This record gives sequence, C-alpha cells and structure tokens, in this order.
Amino acid sequence: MNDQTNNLISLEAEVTEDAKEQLDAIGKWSVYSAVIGFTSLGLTIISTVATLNKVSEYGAGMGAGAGLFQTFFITALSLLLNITLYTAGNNIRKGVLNADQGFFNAGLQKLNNYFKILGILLIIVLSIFLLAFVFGGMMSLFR
Amino acid sequence: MSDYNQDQLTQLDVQYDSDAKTSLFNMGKWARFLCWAIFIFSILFVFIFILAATVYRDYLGDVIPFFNEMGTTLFITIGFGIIVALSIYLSAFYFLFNFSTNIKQGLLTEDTPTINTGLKSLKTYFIISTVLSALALLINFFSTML
Repeated sequence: MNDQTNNLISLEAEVTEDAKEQLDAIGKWSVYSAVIGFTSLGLTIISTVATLNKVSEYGAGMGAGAGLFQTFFITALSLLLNITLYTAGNNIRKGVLNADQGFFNAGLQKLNNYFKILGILLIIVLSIFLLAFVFGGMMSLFR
Repeated sequence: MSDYNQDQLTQLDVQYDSDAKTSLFNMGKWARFLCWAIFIFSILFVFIFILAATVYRDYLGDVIPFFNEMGTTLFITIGFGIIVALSIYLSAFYFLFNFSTNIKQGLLTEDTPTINTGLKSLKTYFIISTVLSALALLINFFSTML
C-alpha cells in the first residue's frame, strides 16, 4: 500500500477539460444531495417532535426520552455527513471553475472524508448486527 | 504560443497533485469497501426474506386459511417488489464500484481516460442517489401529510 501511495506522489497529471466537466457535475450533484439531506432531516425532526408531543400526552415519559436521544443521535450524524458533502461539492466546483488548487484539494479531501465516515458508520452497523446475531444465537441455545 | 507561455498557462490550471491523488485513491478504497458491504448485505437481506416468507407462509397458513390459498402469490409479489427496488438502489452502487476500480487503476497507471471514466461513474452514482433521495423525501413528505 505504501508503495502504491509513493507511486501516486511521484507522478503529476493535468486535469483535462473532460475531467473538469465531470468534477463540476460531481460538485453540483453532491450539493443537491446534501440539500435534500438537510430537507429530509428537517422533516424527520418535525415529525419526531409531533410524535413525541402525542406520546407525552399519554404520559410515556421514558419512551419520549429514548426517542429524543435517538433523534438527537441521528440528527448529529446526518448533519455531519451532509455538511461534509455540501462543503466537498462547493469546494470542488470553486476549485474547478476558478482554477484554484487549494479549493480543489480541500474539496477532494472532504469527499474522501464523506466516504470514510460512511464506511466507519457501516462498520459500526455491521458490528452491531454481528453482536445481535451472536447474542441471539446464544440466547436461543441457553433457553 | 511559445512552450514557456503554454507551461505558464498549464500551471494556472488545477492539477492532480500529490494531495488530490491521495484523496482520490483513498476515496476509491472506501468506495470499494462500501460497495462490497452493500452487495453482501443485499444478498443476505434477500436470503433472510425468502427464509422468513417460507416460515411465515406455513405458520400463517395454519391460522388463517387465506394464506394457504394466496400466501405464496402474496409473498412472491412482495419479493418481486423488493428485488426491483433493490436493483434500482444497487445500480447506484454498481457505478460507485466502477468509480473505485477505474480511479485506482487510472491513478496507478497515470491513464487519463481511465481516470475520466471513473469520474463519470462517480457523477452517475451521485445523480442516481440524489434522484432516489428526492423520491424518498417526497414519499416521506406525503406519508407524513396523510
């Protein structure tokens, strides 16, 4: 892997016009995707607050607390992902359109972070599934 | 235009410098991991659905006679719907996988057309995932309104 990274560093290549068009489109669509993500998050928050209000009317305080914690957790993760994607798209577009290497690199770095965060979240979800599967299996054995 | 002036113009434009290349290369690695995980998850999901449908059809058939007659048709229809939805969703990850393969190969061999093909695949991935997110948002919005 280190050899591969060293190979990358030793080479220099120009961004062609075709690549610039693709990168501009990538930036544009990632900004759209992030905006849809923000809107979706807003809708989720509104519907959760409405549901929690209804639940608290029936006196289910503990359930409402758990729901609030879950919403807070999902909101934080979604915000982190969408802000990263939005910044990535904006920076890539600025870099390509204004021929600014700094913005271009920052945009690619942010897009890399976006995929890294998605990957780490997936590892966490897979681990939880695996643990649930193992514990479920053990519970059914000892029953 | 002299070669010197041409070089000056080239230097004004953006380039795949070491930082950009490292970011793209790492992006390709994470994208490949995401794709494999999603593909494996999808296969497991379909397998678990078939298993659960078989068990529930037999169980519900004993309790509700309707499931003895129509249970198989019902589960096949639901299964078909799931497979169609999954195929549309997975098509986005097919393009992400293409991006990952091409960008890594293109950067290592310094092949510009391969890099461009990779970037085109990443663009298609973003277009499909954005359209699907917009559809999901609309469905979510109307279901909340109802």
